[in-house]
Amino acid sequence: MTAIGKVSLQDAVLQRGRSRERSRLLVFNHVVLLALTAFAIVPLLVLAFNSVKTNLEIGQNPLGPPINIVTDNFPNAWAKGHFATTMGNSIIYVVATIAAELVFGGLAAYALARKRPPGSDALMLYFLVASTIPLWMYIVPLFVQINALKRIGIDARLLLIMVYVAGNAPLTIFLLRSYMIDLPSELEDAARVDGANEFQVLTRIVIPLTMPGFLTVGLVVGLGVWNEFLLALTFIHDPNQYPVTTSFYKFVDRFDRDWALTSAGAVIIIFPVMVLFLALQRQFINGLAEGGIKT
Amino acid sequence: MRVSRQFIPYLFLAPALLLLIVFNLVPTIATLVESTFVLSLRSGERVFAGFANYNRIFNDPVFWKSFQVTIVFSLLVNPIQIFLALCLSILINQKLPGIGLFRSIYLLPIAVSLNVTAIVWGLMLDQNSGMINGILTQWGIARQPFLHSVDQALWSIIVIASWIGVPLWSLFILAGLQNIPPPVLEAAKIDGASAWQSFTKITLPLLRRVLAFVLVADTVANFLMFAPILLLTNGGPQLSTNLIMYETYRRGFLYGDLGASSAMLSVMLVIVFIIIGVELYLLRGQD
Repeated sequence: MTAIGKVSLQDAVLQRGRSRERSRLLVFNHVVLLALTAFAIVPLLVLAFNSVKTNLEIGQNPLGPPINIVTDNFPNAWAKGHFATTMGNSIIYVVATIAAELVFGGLAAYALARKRPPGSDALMLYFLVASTIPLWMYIVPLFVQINALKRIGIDARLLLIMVYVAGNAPLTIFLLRSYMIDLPSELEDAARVDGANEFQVLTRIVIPLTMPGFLTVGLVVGLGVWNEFLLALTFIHDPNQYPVTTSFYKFVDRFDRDWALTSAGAVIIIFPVMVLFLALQRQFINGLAEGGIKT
Repeated sequence: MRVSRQFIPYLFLAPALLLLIVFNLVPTIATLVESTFVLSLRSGERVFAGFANYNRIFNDPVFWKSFQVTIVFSLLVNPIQIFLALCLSILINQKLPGIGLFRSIYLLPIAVSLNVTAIVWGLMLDQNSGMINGILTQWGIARQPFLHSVDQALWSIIVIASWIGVPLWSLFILAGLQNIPPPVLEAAKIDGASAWQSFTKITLPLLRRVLAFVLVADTVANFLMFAPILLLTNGGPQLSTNLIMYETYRRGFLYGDLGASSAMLSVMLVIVFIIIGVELYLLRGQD
């Protein structure tokens, strides 16, 4: 009886010490988290603040919250940046790239994960190497090639989409393959026994079960294409085909130091992706955790 | 029938491979080939020149200066980013009240494009109207030139690159942390392991694969850092931020010296291959 009492007293003392230590740790954690949150969010807040100020107010109060909120910047930026055109173009580029990427990448990943035809290892090595080489490392020869393809009548937008798909393909195939390898192959075999053909196995079994992987890859590819501007500026010459990032780039160029419009333009570009990113964030982390980084 | 079944995997691979060959493999090889050609001054035509371009860049102080800047930049930015990303992912992996909100805010920069980031930070770091200098003056510290100073420009680029880089890499590490089964850590706690012990003996070894991936991906990404230099410093002041990727752009696009530019790109390709070799070694090492 007393022994038990002693033990529980000891426990209680230990526990109190621990909880004091833990609460001190909690305070420390929150302080560090707050500092890092400030580092992450302050630039975005400045941008948001400046997007609802006049240029005059930005001059006097460049960083604080707005004193008089004006909303004119958004319609002005929308009109001057031709966002009605570029926003539509970017949505086409993003959706088409994601769709082609997931279809072509998914097919290739499935072949490598399940069929393992001769040459698979060499292909995987090539994808690994290619996934680290950024597009602008070979932009000059690519430029020559794209111009040749344009001359034989291929649409510049289609070419840009194909360049994006190719640029993202190695990483896509790599990630999707690692999700598919983790899938128990008995399910696919069962479907085959029931008379499903290869294509049905892929669309009815493999794709639904690796959906988090497809979503993660889609998000990564989509973010990349939405934010890309160097290739778009290099390959697209018709202003009616520009994506949103070129709107922003022209802004900075043409309306030198018009911070109100630049900020509103930046908010217009960031807002849609940020909403999407926040909505899918949980899925995204799960997707990475479930099989992202395996080789 | 048998023959056609054998070809199905290649049929699945064909569209992706075709795109990769046309828009990735061919231009990459073209860059390597281009590095062995020079523009003849007499005829204005491209002529084969063997290693002349390589000789030229290896004897060029500007190339070596940019190489040196890139090495210094890499040695600073990679440890900083990976250490901070590791700390952060551990912090936001905890079950604290309100952590979901912190996590969302903290990961937000990932969604922002690099050109918007560069412009916003350029505004914040401005010598006269920038917010950072506003805060410094309130604390009684003199205004700093940041991007216009030989000593501070590279550090400014490091901060800007880390604003996206740290959350991006901590996302991968966070995914790795969430893959560690909680019972493993609880068992260690019951056995009397301190927080530090369970971190070094359990968490770190289990994160090894993820950390190896992050280390290499981060190293390559920073080695090829380009957009903030193009938008903010153009390599200056006095070449202090002239990272090697920007130098290849300067040579190729601004000076039209494609031979030298391609030779530099080829040298960088070789270095990237070496980094990937190390990656393969690190990933193979443990199993």
